[in-house]
Amino acid sequence: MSVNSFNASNPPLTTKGDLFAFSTVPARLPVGTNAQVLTADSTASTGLAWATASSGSLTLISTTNLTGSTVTLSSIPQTYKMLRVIMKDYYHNQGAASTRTLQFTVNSTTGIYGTWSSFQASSGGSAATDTKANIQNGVLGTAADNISIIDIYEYASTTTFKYADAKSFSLFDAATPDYQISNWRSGIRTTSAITSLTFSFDSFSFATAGTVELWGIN
Amino acid sequence: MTNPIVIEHNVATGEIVEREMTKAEADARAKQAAEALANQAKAAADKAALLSKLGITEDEAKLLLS
Repeated sequence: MSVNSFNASNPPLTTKGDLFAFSTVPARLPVGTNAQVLTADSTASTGLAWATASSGSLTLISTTNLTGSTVTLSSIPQTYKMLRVIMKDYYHNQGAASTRTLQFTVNSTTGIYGTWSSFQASSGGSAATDTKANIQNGVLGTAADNISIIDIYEYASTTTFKYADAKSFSLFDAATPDYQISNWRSGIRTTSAITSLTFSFDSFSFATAGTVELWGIN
Repeated sequence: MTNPIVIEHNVATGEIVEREMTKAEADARAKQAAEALANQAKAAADKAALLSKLGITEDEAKLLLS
């Protein structure tokens, strides 16, 4: 068979899903497996290949109850592009009269954060020497359906600083009641990969309520 | 008096350890907590002083910023 004059009445197709491709001669390209997509592949003889479609994914790594003074998630896998932390139903154990700030550290390291809310700059923040990164301030010691979502970018990098974006909705005044939405953004001045996260209030302990979920995002 | 409790969850193995803080950890925690409480008290005092100087209430200040 010549390159340009194959026998049209007898194409090289034999099986359901076969595609008619070409290398240096007409060639059969068998169908891939379910959900695969056809992609260009210069290393394949026909220049085509079936491959698993790349797409974003969200994987639940762990769920931990919030109790005690600090909660640490350690041995965080380094296989994701970024981390998402979801904290639900948290409050502290000192009652409604006290408002506290929910915070976190990475790798048990303090003094490497620059943490700002959307409406104020924290003391020392401009020098990125804050003791911890803030998640939400004004948290009461009252049971509430509080929620915070913290995204941590470049967490596995060993060459760049890290950035965390915390968004929260929480009870601020139990009597009224008032709620607050806030966004705390933190620069994390380390080039070490983040292998652990520690959560705590700036004083007191977690009431034995709520959970922290750790998700990996690709 | 027992030291505060810390929770350590190894997310690779699933092992969860609950233990008391060591003395050094508890001392550091107490120092940080005292600083946080002092900062909060100072911020509240500064706020009250400023409101007094301006001659407005906290609600009126919120109204100005809304």
